[in-house]
Amino acid sequence: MSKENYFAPDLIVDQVNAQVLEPLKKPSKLFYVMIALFISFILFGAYCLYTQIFEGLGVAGMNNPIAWGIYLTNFVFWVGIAHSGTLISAILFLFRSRWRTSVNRIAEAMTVFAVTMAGLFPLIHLGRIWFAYWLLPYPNARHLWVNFRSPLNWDVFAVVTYMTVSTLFFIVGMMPDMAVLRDRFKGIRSKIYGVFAMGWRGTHRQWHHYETAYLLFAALATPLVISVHSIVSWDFAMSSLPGWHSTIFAPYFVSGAIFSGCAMVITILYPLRKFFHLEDLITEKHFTRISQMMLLTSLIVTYSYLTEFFIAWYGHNIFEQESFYNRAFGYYGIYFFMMFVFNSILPLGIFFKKIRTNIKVLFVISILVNVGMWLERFVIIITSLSRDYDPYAWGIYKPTYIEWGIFLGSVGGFLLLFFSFAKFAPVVAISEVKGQIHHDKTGGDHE
Amino acid sequence: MNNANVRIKAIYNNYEAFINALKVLSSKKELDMDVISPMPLHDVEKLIPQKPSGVRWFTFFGGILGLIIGFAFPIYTVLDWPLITGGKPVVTIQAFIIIAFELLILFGAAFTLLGLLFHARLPRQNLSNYDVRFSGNSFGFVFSVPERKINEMKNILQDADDIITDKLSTESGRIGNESR
Repeated sequence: MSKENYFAPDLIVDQVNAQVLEPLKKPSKLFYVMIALFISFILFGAYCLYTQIFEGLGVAGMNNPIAWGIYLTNFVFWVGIAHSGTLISAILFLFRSRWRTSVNRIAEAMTVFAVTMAGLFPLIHLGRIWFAYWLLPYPNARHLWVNFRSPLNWDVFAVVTYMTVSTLFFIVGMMPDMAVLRDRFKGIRSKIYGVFAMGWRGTHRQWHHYETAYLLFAALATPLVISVHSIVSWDFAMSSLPGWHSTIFAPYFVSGAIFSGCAMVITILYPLRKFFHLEDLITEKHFTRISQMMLLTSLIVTYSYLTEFFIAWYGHNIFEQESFYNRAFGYYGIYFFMMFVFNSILPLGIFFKKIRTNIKVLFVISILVNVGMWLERFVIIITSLSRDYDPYAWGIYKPTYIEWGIFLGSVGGFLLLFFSFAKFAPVVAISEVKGQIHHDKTGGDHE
Repeated sequence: MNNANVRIKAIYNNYEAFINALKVLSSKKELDMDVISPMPLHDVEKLIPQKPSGVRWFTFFGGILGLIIGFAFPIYTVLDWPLITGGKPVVTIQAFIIIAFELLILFGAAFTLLGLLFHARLPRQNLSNYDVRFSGNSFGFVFSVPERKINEMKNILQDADDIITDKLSTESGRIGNESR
């Protein structure tokens, strides 16, 4: 099998350390401006959350019948973003996909930070955030346990497991690279990197156990990533609400998650690559590959959209039919059409080579897909709730500035975590890139 | 004095020279050495075959443990206060499969980490059997031999870019203590 080279053709092993460590040096002024901007987002979000905690959940726009607003839209959105990280790091690892090597670390970091943001939203949504521990089963005098039959409780287990496993995968994957940093820096920085490197030396025995462990992590993370978004979808599908109660939800949500995640990888990779001069390691070919994954998942998502409408029509259930008519032509119809254009029609452009090899165009598409995928969750949650069986209970929901503010805060939090990570840790898996270049040059077989 | 051990660190920038030296060294069965490289190397795996890593047993038993807890714990809680809801059985295995599956993965992953740390003997603080060039672009060996063998070893390592030797205070100079 001929092997495609995904790095700059003249890149040699000796340059990898220098290239990856470049971003860790003194940052430019623009970096501080960005950090200040993200912190201002977080502060505004924190102010909104503070208001909600002290004034009560009434400051958010949620009310009967729409008790699930954009907090849960954000939750599903962030969990979805998280998914492509595991896909790129674990599933593509198992498939021996060579292009994952220089983008897997960024995708993994994205997973960890996105799932951290996701985990906040159910707690914010619950209102009394100080009782968040009620979600966990713990022994108490009243013999009260959580309801293990509830999909909401499955969600607690799924998200906690996902957060833990993706963090472990991330940290273990970084161990050899942290050793590189430990050896290149002096003083306190070297000590801190040393803690994460855990005394890694890179002996043949360590590599042997490490490779086994990494493979096992990938093997565990792969079914996990599919289960997590399936469980998130069952939060909806397990209820008997028209528009939610559907068996297609699990695969529909999983492909949607990977779709939005791939879009977010492109959105983040583009500025990062420019900012930190990683052009030799992250090439146009990586963008093309990710966009192709985006195209594939976009087609699956589009198929799911159409299937939902087909089943509503074919099923002859008037509630289901009304629900879907309302989704497309009701009060929130404009969002439905925006979602359809962004998620189903725009990505079709990737079929054309001119578009999928043009990073700038891909960047724009990826941003619009992010918007489209956020709207998808909004459309599913809000339109279904706004009109269920009883016309007396129909209603309209408009998010307040508090809800938008908290969302903005989460965006700031995600980006701040990401930029800090890019500043202090290796954004590219050094040992994997070296391994790939080395094996290509010496003619060995390596994934 | 001739029985005192000497630690040798040999550092290679040239891969071919490194592999040639490895071929000679790997044939000496009595030599307990660490082959250190900035990336995993298939040539090393071929020349020094190793048993399949024991990490997989940690993962396996961790997964089994998670699976058992994932079923046993929800069953215990529903029996602790049996409350029939929706006319369904109290012990609803179908619903608990999801908890069991998630805990299988969670415990499997946590035990994989423990297995890796155990077998790779991490975390460790002492990096005396190491050189910072190994995380750059250099390959090499670290091992200890009795002082009388030092010239023989230097002969084998003649193509090395750098050789660092130092006397070890103890006689049992086992270098790497990772599980093999």
